[in-house]
Amino acid sequence: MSIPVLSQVFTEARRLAIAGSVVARGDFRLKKLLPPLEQAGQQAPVFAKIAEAANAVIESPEESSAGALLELTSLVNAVLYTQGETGLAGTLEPIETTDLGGVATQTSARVLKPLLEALSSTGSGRLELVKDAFERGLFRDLRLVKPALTALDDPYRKSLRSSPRRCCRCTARRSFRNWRLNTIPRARGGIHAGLHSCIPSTRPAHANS
Amino acid sequence: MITLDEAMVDAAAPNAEAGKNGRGLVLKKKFTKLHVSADGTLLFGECQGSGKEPYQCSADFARADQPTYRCNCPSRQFPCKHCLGLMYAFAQKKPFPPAEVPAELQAKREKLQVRTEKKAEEATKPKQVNVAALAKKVKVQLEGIDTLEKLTHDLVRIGIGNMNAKLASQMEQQAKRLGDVYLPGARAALHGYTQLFVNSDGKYTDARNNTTSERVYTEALDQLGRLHAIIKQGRAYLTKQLEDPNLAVPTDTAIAAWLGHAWQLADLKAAGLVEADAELVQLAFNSHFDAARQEYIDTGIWISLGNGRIRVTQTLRPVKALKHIKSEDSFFAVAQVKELCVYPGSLNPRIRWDAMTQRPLEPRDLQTVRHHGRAEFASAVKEVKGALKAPLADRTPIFALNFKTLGKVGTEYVIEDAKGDRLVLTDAGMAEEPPSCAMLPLLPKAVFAGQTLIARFHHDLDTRQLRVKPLSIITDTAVIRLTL
Repeated sequence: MSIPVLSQVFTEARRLAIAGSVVARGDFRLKKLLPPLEQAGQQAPVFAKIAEAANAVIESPEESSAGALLELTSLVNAVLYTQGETGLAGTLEPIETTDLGGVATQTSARVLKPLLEALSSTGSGRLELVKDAFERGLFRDLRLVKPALTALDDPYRKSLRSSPRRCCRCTARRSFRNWRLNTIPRARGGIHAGLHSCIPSTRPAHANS
Repeated sequence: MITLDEAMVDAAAPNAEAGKNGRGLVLKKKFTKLHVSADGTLLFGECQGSGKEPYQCSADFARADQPTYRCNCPSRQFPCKHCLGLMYAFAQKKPFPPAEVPAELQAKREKLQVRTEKKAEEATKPKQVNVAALAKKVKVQLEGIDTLEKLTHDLVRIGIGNMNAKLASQMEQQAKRLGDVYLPGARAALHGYTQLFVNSDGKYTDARNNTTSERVYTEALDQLGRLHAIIKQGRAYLTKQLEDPNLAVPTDTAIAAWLGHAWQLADLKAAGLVEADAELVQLAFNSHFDAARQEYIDTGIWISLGNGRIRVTQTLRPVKALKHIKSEDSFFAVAQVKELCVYPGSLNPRIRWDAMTQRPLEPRDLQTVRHHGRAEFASAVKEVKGALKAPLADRTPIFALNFKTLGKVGTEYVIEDAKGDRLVLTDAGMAEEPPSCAMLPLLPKAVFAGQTLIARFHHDLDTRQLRVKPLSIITDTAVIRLTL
């Protein structure tokens, strides 16, 4: 299949759609693509159809130009959708995992979604949510690990230095730290150890000492 | 006998707040009476509210798959916090001595019985079509299609690049009128186009950088193609319907739904789009707010244990009616549905049901789900490409894929099947869904080999690459959800 020609037709049709179909009449770049399209059309009928649609775009008067252009882009898009590339060459390497070992809990969306929003947004009213979630042990959900860690680094904390108690981020940090300390009394090594401590069953060896 | 656990009550609650309040009532010991009927199908009790008289609340399980909640409190939520509290109390094994059902409640139960029988009887009667009214409606719809065509052609003539904030908001005004001519689906499609030109605050904007513009242009062209298809197919279908008022709504294409046909469950049943005794497992869930439509959309992705087809449930909750429509939630059990109605559609059609019971999810169910996964990616890819070429097709079909290895090539996550075919993972597809690729390095090593991935395909029009977004991983023991 002459996919490069098809891609060119798509590029030209897209250009015309961006510029407006009023300028499509007699477009010489599209006209140049007609011969290779017709040639390909002898082997695959769909190309003949595309050539016909492209011709209609070049020749149609201004009033019917929009319809003709839409017809052409629909046809080309339909074919291009069947030509999506899959796969990736190269050596498949194992994923370096922090291996939290086993999945802890899976919280329901109704609880998880507001919590994710609280950890990633700004504004008031989030303190209670994060506190409550911490008390209910919801941070054992793996989907919360990254958002919780991101929330720890939020600069928002600085702007509220004068009233740290009102700061949700601080609570997130405290919640996370407390949780980590509760889970592994002697966890060392910063965030990495923190990640390990997500699930008690997979504590790093030194944590038990 | 009623079987209830707290998770079931959580699922019955219309929203998280109601559930929390219901639990609170039990904790605060607000229930002065708790009883169960002699036949074990009705829970009833009294709950002290702020007034002098306690509220009489009950949960009727005479129809186990469709419980009825009654309460004389003024709340418009069903079930209200009192009924939920009653059920939490039962789930928490509080004493429920048997007692005689109050006469008033008994009368209501009998009335419901009569109503159910009447409804079943009515369902069997053939539906009357008001020919004159239908013809009038179809004519208006055809005029609406003409308007849509004019608008779409104007947009193409002006050019996507010349779209500006003023024009977009004018289009938006015009789009609203399509809703008045019974074409809400077409209106939503036009909305989809104009929404490409809004910024994150939901306002139309002229200022965009080059990369965003290029991306928007390709997407916009695809949307225009979709509108073009709606106009063509819609006009053909409506013209046919005008000629033959008794023409059945087509079940082989989704054009009726695109025009905004609201399928009633009875219609779906009449068209034979019903599966009997289906058992469903939820694979993934998502809930997002559509700013343009001003409604929340809850989407559940389910697999049928019987035939392995993956389909979706959709609950639309307009902001205006938010209090009265139950928000959906993730579902961790097996849903047993007597009559499963399936909408017309291609790979992942919409499903709906009236009544369901549930049972716990067991390892053998997960085995069944894994068994339904595609062992060869090539067959799934072929099917996806075949479906995508239809202009009105769902652009992000979902499949269960059995992978041999999940690994990394360079910086990309890749799954490989037994034959060595590969698919690259991506977070693109649905912007409203939480990203999931970043979750992978947190998972235990065991899930990176020989598991089933629930994946949403996405064809990038700019790079022409077909990739998948990981939604969940099904292991022997669990459904690991990566999104919601």
